[in-house]
Amino acid sequence: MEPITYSLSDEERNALSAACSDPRFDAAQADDQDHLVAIATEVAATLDGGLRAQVEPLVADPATPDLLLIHELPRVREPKRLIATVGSLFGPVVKYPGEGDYIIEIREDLSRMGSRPSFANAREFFPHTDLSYVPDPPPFFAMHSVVNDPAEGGFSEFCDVGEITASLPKAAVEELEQSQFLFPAPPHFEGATSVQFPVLMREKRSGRRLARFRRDNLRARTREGIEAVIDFVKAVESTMAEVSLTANSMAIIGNRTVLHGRTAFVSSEQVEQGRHLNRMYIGAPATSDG
Amino acid sequence: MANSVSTLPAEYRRGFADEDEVWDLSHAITDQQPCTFTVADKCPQVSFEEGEAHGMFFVTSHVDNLSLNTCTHIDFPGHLPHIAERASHEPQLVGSYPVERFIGPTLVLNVSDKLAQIQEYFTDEGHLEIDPRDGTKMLEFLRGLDELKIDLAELVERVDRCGCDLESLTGLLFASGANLYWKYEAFESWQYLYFYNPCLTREACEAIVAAKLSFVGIDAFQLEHPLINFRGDELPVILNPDCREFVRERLAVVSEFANHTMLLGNDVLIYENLRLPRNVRGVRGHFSGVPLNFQLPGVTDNALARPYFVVKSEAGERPTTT
Repeated sequence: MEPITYSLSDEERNALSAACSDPRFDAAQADDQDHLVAIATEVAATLDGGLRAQVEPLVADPATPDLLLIHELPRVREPKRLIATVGSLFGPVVKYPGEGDYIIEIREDLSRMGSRPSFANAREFFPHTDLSYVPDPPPFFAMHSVVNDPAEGGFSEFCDVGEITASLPKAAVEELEQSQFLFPAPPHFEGATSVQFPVLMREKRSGRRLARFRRDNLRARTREGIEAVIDFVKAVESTMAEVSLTANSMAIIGNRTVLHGRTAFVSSEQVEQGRHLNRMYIGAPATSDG
Repeated sequence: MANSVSTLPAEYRRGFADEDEVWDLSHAITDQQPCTFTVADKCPQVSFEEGEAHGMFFVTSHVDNLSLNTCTHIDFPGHLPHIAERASHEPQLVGSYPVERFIGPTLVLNVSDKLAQIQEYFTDEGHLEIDPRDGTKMLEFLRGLDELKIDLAELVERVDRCGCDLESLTGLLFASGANLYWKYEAFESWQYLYFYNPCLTREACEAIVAAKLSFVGIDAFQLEHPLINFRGDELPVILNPDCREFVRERLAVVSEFANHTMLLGNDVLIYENLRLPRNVRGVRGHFSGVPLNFQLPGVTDNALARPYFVVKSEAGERPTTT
């Protein structure tokens, strides 16, 4: 897939840097993200320029791939302010019960390694959608690269759901549209250990292909269903694009229209500054046609 | 564990001579993760219920999350995706196979010298000792995995050295020595010696198929080229572009003549995660590894089994161990 890329001009970068230094932010306590997000939304409303012009095509045009790579971001003292400000240009910032705060740090946490790939470890993470087990996953999310040395691995992987689906046999698509797939749910999610959904759906308004997918621990009720998953995985591998999301860049990603993943990266135990990205979910954005 | 029959109480020795040997070739299924590299939770979960008799009380256990390819198990043709489209017939339910398919004269072939060829890259505990950043050594290691292949000439020669021929056998088990590294733990696929194992060339597979063996088996994670432990985004290949390119190119070749495809595609079943002690290497005996009679819809892929191996004390059963 070919992402949209946008590089900030010097003027835009300076304006964004100034926005992140807005004194209103100083009123928010360090761990009060409700307040931080509210301020960022106000501050974002004052921003103008080319970045704002990227919003409408990304969120409203089904023909545009839902992957925007923003480069030349300013290096700021408080990266959470930056992601909150830029992200809120694209839609309301949201969080889900039990899933942590608005802005989550994607960095290795040696105290919570677990066995499944996650935002807290350095394992390779097959392309997936976030919150595959909730009924209404966020439509978009922002991912800001704060520290990310390509020499340490950790390349981002993206693939477009439309491209994946186009390469699948019709029978596989029909199977993936059945609500027969068991997505494991974490212990805090409503007490259920797994929930059942289809992998592929269509957006009601535009008919665009949507997906919900996470490969590890996924099961199907039928053999035909799991064979369709295998076809889907092969299609992901063959259509996947690899991007090095270098520091001071940000990706705005359609969580239902683009699968995202990463390769393994060197553990933070072995490098001076471990890989660090910030992630924030974005809800259904308002568009010019309502 | 292996038992000499003579150590058992007399009532359990009926039908055996004192010098007969009975070897349990299975790993126990416990509530711990079996030796695997999958991130999926493979830990069986036990719960208990009251038996539903009317005149008496009983306790019955249930086991949830029990995968049919955990611990010692059999791979069937349905383990391959879309096999129905490729094979000349629909894959059978695992319980519909006649029991004779899992019983018969079997040779345990000693191929432990193969694993010894890559031992230098691993610690005594079986962990890969190469620094992920050392691309040169990593590439040397990856290239060296081809030394684990057993070609037709070698297969025939090793079988012949045991005083056997393929056509006289029901099954052939490969004793690689990897089972020394079996642990109830999950590891990275590329990092642990248990996942590196001998494999067969295309011609060797074809000879096994032509000899109409019912099954093969191995005391390792699988009988397959270990390069399939890599997808191309693991740490050692990500940090070394030469390694990544090598893995991608070789995977295409390895996949084309994958042992699973060639054997299962011709209805030769595969036992995996066997426990093959040193004492049975090079020995021909009587094998039995019958799966449970599962005839659930769609279950054509795997079955749990508790195989055992009997070495009779009559002359001719136990050749010189090789």
